[in-house]
Amino acid sequence: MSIYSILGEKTVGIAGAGGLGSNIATLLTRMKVGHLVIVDYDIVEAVNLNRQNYALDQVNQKKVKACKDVLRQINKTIQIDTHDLKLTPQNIKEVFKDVDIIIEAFDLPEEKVMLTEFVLKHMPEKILIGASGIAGYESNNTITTRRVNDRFYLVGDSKSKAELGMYGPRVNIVAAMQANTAIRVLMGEMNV
Amino acid sequence: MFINGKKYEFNEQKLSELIDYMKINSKNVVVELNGEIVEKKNFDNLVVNYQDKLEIVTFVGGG
Repeated sequence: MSIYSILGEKTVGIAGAGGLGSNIATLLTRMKVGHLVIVDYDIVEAVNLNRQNYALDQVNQKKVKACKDVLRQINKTIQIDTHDLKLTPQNIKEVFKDVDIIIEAFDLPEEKVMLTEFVLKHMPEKILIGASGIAGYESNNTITTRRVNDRFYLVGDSKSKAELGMYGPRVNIVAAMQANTAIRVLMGEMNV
Repeated sequence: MFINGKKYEFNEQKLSELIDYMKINSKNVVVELNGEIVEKKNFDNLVVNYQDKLEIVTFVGGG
């Protein structure tokens, strides 16, 4: 079986369609992952264009719409479900009920904590791939993928806060590492 | 005890004290003790000891 026919049967949920999420969604679409579930409540702003996979004519659009439009330029056949909402402990289970993997691509630390705690505590069958410490233009080589437990992976340097500035290259490194971790897990390779 | 896979020689103490000692902001952490998530409201009354395995995951902003 080819990698694409295996990935074509899989579903990935992406929590957030900003710097991490918009780039992760693009990479997984290029890999022909069969079904993506993308969740965000924000709109595209001009200042996002230094790192997020959107274009000038998408400014002021909802990110979930803009993201789906970008992905449709790459692949017309995969299933793309979008949810224009804020994820909370009340809706996470329902929104991500069909996914094999949840990728945490939030911006705010309290939202990262909320999703991580909820998934680890209440969704024992799901794999979670999070990110922490992706800002600035610190060294590439401080970024790692850590397997915290059997089903929770964390990418980043755990230190570099958004206040250092959020820039495309380092955000893309982390997005690509989260996407590759997802591909590995979907292909049955659980080691980092 | 083991914290994030590394061995430490800490005495028995409250989880909240340990987190403070390690200069971690307890607001933005997820803690797993021996494979179970620890809720924040329990940080103050949960005592960790030498045989425990802790994972302390620190979240900083940016995404």
